[in-house]
Amino acid sequence: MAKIIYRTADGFDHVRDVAIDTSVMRGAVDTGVPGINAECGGSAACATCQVQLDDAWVARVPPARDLEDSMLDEEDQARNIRLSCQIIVTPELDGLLVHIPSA
Amino acid sequence: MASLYPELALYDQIDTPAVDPVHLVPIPAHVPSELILPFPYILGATTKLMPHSFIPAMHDGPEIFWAERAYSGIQGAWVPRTVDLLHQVYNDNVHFCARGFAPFARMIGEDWYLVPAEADPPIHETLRTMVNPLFTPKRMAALEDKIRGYAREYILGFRDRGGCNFMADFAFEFPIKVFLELMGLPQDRVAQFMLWEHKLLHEPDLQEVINGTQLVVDYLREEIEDRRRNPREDLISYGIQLEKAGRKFSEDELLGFCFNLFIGGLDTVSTNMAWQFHHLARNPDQQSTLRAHPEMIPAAIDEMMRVYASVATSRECIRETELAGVTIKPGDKVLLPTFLAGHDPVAYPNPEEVILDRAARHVSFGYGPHLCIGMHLARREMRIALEEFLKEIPEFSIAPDADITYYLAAIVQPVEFPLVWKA
Ligand code: HEM
Ligand code: FES
Repeated sequence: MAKIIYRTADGFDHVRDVAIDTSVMRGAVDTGVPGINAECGGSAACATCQVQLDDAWVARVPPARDLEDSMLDEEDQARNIRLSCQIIVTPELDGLLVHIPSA
Repeated sequence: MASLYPELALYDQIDTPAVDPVHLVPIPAHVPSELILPFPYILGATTKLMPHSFIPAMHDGPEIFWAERAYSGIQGAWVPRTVDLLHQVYNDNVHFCARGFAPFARMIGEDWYLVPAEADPPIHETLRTMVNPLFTPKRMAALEDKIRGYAREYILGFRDRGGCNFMADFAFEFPIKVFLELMGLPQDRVAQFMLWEHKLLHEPDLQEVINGTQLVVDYLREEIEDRRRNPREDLISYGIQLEKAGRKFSEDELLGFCFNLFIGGLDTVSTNMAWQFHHLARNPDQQSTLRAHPEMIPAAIDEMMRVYASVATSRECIRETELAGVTIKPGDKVLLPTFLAGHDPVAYPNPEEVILDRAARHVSFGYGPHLCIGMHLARREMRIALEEFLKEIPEFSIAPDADITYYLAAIVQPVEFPLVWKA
């Protein structure tokens, strides 16, 4: 397990223990964290699972693959918006803080 | 069988085109006879009953069954009916392939395929990576004003007449306008596109479908050729320049992509719009709720997309596997009927009821790697159509003397219906 913190736009921290090798998206959807729709179920095909990496974590999360990048505008990429289904939970990500955009 | 299907008597009221038995693909030997069940959604079939009224009874039956003529009107297919099973098949590209589900290229003796709908791993991911940037939510948001302008043109055109034929006067043409805009094709082609679309998708006569396909293909090839010589700021020009991992679209891939947008992005939007207006015309309370609270429209659209889901694509089995305990063998077709899954009583309590703020996830845009690439655009078109219509037009209903016919396949759609209001 790794601890993942999902911070919603209202500033509330949803703290979850998420199984290693699952995705940051799964950890949210399966435990009712609001704001992550994940309509395609984790295939990088819907862009409805967006999170913004906290600045402190940007360098520690492995970069997006081409498929993930193709779903995000440059402006989103510059703000470290990621598809949470493409971030695989590893022990190194214990304590990861992600922000859930408001809309 | 009769006990499974209390509505079986209603099947008398379905008009299914006859087929010469020599054209029917025989039922494979491994299909258990008790799983062969009736299925109304056969290519070319029409009815005057509400097409979704056949569904509840099917959910008393097995989770997956075999339906004769469910694929292309001539071949049987497995029909899974639950959200879980559809998720499973959409996500399983080890046992199932998407290649070959659409007949269009074959019909005209060519061998391109729909890009990316009929692409499989590993090429599907490459192709999707190439075209995704064209459809990001932000890019679609930039079309907002154009789309609203088109919607208003139609609505203001018939507002003072006190009524309209919803399909002919609005639903068919509106998405074509948006499509032409997106593709950078001239707007004076709307009538032409309508005609082609109908030949392709709604003609019972196979020869007409073939002619329609050929016309669209010829036209798209011409436009692609033109953009090679005169690149512009449009989607086709972009497609020509696209390069990913050292590769560009081949001629066939580019055609397959344009054709995929044509086949996937027009009639689907028309149909879902149709069901939304059909529903609200018959449910004045919900209509006035949305008129008073336009902010509820997006959630309402998704709920109506669930209840009135209309699309069924398919996969072909490439490695033996099981679905809900039933053996599926290579060569078997598996239909993906989003309209059955939308009424899955396990996924959706009280599935028949439209609850405007239910906010349930549906599979009407598919699921997994092939999830609809036009989803954000489609939602935007439908939202704008509903917003503008509710703003400009007072309470509307279906004309009392209306005699409505519905297509059951290839897409579940009202052929036409008249709306009326006090002008
Ligand atoms: C309400 C309207 C729409 C509905 C219900 C709908 C439904 C679907 C479904 C169910 C799929 C998945 C097919 C499968 O996996 O076999 C799909 C894929 C697709 N749709 Fe849509 N669609 C709509 C609008 C659009 C629009 C507006 C466009 C284009 C502008 C579009 C383009 C596509 C494409 C290209 C694919 C293939 C994606 C892939 O295979 O990766 N669709 N659509
Ligand atoms: S769940 Fe669809 S893109 Fe992440």
